[in-house]
Amino acid sequence: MKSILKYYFIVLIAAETIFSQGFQVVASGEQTFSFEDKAGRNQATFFSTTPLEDITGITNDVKGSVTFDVNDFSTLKGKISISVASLKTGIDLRDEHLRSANWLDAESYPEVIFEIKKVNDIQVLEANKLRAKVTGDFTTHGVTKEVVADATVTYLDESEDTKKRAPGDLLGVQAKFNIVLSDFDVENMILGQKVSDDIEISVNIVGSNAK
Amino acid sequence: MNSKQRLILLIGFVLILAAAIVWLSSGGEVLSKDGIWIEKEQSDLDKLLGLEPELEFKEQFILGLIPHTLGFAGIIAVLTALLFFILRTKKLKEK
Repeated sequence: MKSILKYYFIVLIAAETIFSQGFQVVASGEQTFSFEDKAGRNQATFFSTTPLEDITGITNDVKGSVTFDVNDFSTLKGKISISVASLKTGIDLRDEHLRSANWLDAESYPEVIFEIKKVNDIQVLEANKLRAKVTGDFTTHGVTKEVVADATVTYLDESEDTKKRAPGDLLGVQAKFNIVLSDFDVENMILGQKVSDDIEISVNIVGSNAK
Repeated sequence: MNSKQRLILLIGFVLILAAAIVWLSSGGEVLSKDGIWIEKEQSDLDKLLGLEPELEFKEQFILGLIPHTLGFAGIIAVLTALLFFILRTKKLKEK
């Protein structure tokens, strides 16, 4: 009986290790990571390419938080937002157009929001690194559409090195997805053919679970 | 066309050609830019966190076709046309 129980637990532990869809780190249970970074190192970018011109827009004003069970990443929930007014493209006049009522209308819709709904196709790359497809509601210009982001998430336990960036465990998130501007009622008029209807959005952020 | 008009046309053409060469050698951008995005050097921690290099805005004027090169070429074209007209050979009126 003892040996049956022993094998049962070995198989159970092996199965949990093999089929685990979470991080193998020191922390356990539900953790909440905040992406507030006073140093402004978190970054969201958009990229548009047309035969006329490539445009890169950037903001370091990224906010939000996510919560998940360390051992089960599919429990991920949370919200990430950026302020429209903080977007910079490298041309001041173009930034003004971007914020204007004809485009993203920063006055009426000051934030671009991504709210996580579910997580699929989780792949364990390393003990502390996962790749997954994160489905969420993307809202800009007052319109919400579902998008799927390819995300790579890295969990670092607190150490002397991580403390240099922020206290607590750190979560690095690198995610990319595409949107179609016309789906969000953004009229591509002033900038005309210089901006593509297909925009690639990329997020490069670090969160901390320090309370 | 007199010799002065020919000289004016030549100068105008050379100046517009020079503007086009400077524009092309500046990268041939459609729009002039106030700066460029450069990748910052990544720390070891950022690499461990799986992040892509952070982009940083560096103020640097990049000459574009619009408005600077086309504006310059337009002014040269107007001045050339004006001088071409002023320097035309005037026919003496027959009394």
